[in-house]
Amino acid sequence: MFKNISNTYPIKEEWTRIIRPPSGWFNIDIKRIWHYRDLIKLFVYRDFVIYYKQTILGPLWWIIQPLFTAGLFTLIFGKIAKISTDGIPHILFYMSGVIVWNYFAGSLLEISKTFVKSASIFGKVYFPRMVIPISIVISELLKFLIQFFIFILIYFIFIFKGVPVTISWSIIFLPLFILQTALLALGFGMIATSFTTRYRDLMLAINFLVQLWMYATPVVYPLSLLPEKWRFFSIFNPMTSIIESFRLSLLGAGTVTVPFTTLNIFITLLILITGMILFSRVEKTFIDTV
Amino acid sequence: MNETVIKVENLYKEYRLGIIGHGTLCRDLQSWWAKLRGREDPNALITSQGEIKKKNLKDHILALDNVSFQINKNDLLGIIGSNGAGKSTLLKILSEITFPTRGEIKIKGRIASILEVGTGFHSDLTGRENIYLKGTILGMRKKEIDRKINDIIAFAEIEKFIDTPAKRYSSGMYVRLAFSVAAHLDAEILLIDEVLAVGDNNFQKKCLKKMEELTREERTIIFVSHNMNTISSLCNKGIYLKDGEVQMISTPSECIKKYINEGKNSDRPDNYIFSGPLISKIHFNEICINSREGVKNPVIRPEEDIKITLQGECLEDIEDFKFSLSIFKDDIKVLTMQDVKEPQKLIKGSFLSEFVLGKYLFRPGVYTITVEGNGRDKKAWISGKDIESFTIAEEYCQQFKRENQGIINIPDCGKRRYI
Repeated sequence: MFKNISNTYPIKEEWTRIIRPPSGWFNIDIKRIWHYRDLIKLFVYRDFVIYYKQTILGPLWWIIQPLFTAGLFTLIFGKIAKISTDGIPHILFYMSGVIVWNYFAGSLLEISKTFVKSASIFGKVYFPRMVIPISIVISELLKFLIQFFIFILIYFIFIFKGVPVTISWSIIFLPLFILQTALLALGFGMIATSFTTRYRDLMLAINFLVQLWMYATPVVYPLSLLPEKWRFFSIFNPMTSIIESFRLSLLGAGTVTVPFTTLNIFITLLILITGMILFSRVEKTFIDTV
Repeated sequence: MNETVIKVENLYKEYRLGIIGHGTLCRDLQSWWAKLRGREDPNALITSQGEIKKKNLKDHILALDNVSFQINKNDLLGIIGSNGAGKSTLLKILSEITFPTRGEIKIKGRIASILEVGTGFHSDLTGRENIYLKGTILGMRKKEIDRKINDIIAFAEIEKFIDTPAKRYSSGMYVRLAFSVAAHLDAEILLIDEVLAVGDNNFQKKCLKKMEELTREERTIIFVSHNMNTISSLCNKGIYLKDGEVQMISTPSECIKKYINEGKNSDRPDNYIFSGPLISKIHFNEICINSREGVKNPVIRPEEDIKITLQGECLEDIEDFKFSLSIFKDDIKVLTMQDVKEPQKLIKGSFLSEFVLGKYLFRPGVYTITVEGNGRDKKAWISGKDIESFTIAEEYCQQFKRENQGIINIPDCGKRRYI
């Protein structure tokens, strides 16, 4: 499986590396990615440093943006359209949806640009290309954690004010849901970048699709509001299960069942593997086609 | 022991020409469909039997065409060839940036490449941060860099600017830092592509010295350059590539000779390239070194006199005219000569100017010739830079001792007395 570019030891001659034309459909060298873990750290650090250099508010934007979006959603969907939030305070309901969705969509969109954006560096030096998507998911995770911290602050404000929010026992799985989001974004992002490298206009399509996708996911409405006949389709959207579980864990209201979640974890892994296979194929040829 | 560290076997690399558009999608689907049915890809240039399909030749190009060679440990290999010969493609495949279409490369040890100066630098990060970034991109671990960072900074001579963002760096500082990081890598094999051209003279020398040192430390270096002097003085093995094919694997000087001689036959126009207002009045027929006609970069043995003749037609009398001929080595002007003592009229008709230099004068290497002509009028001039060149062969003889280093050779000028 890993024979292609990894360590192979033919019988008589001892070579540490053999370069051959790409063949086979799965040749990801996990060991090499592990060797480059310091590079992942540095890329994450670089993304962070660059975010605040020569800006006025810097990382504050990460806080302002979800707060404003949640505020806007409260106004439009909560106050004007009067969409139910399963009894959860509006701002908490929308913000929980927005930060999780932003983590997913932000990572996905950023990863989908991997090959196009890094073409110049990829053309000059070799390192496992998967380092870039992985570092993006981690950078975005840090951003998410900052937003999550703000969410928790607001959460406690509501608790002190005596608003009844209940925490579900499923909170122990919270890190796993976040991991699932990361893997899902990684998978979809890598699928997307594999196609946009060759056909640039797909980038526009992806931006558009992600926007539509948000409305197909219970970010601005609870799943319980969806009519029974449509709810079937939402089974195949792993983001639905993630956001509903996230809300159930922290806010005590969400439509989650064990088979539903299990199926979605399975779908997520399937997408991740598809993404990795496509990505590893493209990384070997893209420099000649970019 | 001479152990092979890189073995390249029957390497091919094909590139598809033309733009990627909706037609590409169509061909992609065609290729994919063929592959799915286990058939031959109709759009590939090389079939699995190694034959080249003529039909696909017009929109494909073979950047590397059956390249095979071996490199031993401690070799300093110089790759020469004109632009588009496949040098960079070869380095790219060696460093796994792109993959070969056919053939394989076997490697023993870690490879690090410096294919371009600014690679992996981020202009918003400081020099120190960039060292870490660049080092890890090249495959170093953080611990390794921690250990070497002081050496890296010292070698690059940027102590003062190390905590300044790289965007304030000069291009020279960029190269120095880049080379320094790569040179301190623990990789057994280093690939270097024409990066040294940017640094200043001192730093270039320092890099060359470092490269020599590295080969002594059991490293192997593959070096691509258009600077023949660097290749001939630094490398112990040469490969001459032309249109993706290996033309010669030999000593660097042999390869350079072949490369330069072939260059003469293929792309030299009949007219030498001169500029200036007088080009309409003076036409050169031949610039000849030691009567070797039609030979580009003739090789001159140390014991030969060097005779350079300029022969041409003057279409109109030019007052107070003289030709000056300058000889350069590595862009350093070695000397300038005049064809007449005092400027005098260049008479309409053919002319022949001759310059003679004594034997044993120049040390081995490549010398280039620049010809200039000046009339009385300030606007009356003609100039041709680097129009010809010659090589002084490396040969040992009594008046040409190896220890007399430098550009000029003066035999037996010293004396010792006992008082």
